[in-house]
Amino acid sequence: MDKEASPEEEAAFLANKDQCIPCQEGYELETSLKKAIKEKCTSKCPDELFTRIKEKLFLLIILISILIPLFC
Amino acid sequence: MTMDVQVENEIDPSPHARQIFEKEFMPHLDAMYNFALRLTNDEDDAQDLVQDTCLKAYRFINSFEPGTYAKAWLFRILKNNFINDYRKKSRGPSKVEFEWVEQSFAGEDDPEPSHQADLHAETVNEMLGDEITKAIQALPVDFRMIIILCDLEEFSYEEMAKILNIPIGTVRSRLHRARALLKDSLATYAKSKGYKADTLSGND
Repeated sequence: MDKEASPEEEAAFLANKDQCIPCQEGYELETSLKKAIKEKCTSKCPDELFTRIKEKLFLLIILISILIPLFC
Repeated sequence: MTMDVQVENEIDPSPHARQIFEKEFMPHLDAMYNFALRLTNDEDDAQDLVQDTCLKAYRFINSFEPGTYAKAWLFRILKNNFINDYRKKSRGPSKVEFEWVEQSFAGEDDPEPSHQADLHAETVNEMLGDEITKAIQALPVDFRMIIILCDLEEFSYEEMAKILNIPIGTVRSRLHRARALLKDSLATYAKSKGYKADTLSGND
């Protein structure tokens, strides 16, 4: 599910899964939960934060560009 | 003032540094904000945390190796920033409907939560994002982090071990435990709200 199993481990699991109802249900539940988290729990960064970070960084760079020659 | 100058001297104002920042770091702003929001449970704190992380990342930009995974590097800074500066003041999770998660949690070595068998894939598919988000936010922070890193951001176990500074074996066990707690929480919630009552086993 997390793409961490080796090809052999994955093949063994998939072969076993079809003959084991609890394994199937567990796999379906885990997969659904992972999918639901991925699809339903995302938030977009507010545009103003993007702008604020760029402004702060720009000011900082200007400030440093002025200050460094004074102290070197 | 001496301190300020010392700190500022560490910052690289070159166009190259700015280019790396724009090209490598800024595309991950949405993911960073989402992670910060899940950690702090507060929009203002999340914005401050992301801003601090970006400025810190710029300050240490010379230690970033271009071509390596910028997102993992940024998430590690964000996580450290959260632990050092924000954890104490962050708001607690919503405790109205999900407080059983806190009650049931005592440590990573606890036995498995008891309600997992009551949760079915169809129930999860029916749930709203808000309900799942609340359940995640009610998890203790170490479990919340690993769920977000793995299921939302799709980091590998090795990347998560580096971000969280824990052995890969701990990543596996913590993830297993976090998922068990989350399923337990959602099963209890689903039952209380009458989700797919016919598919619930009714065991308590």
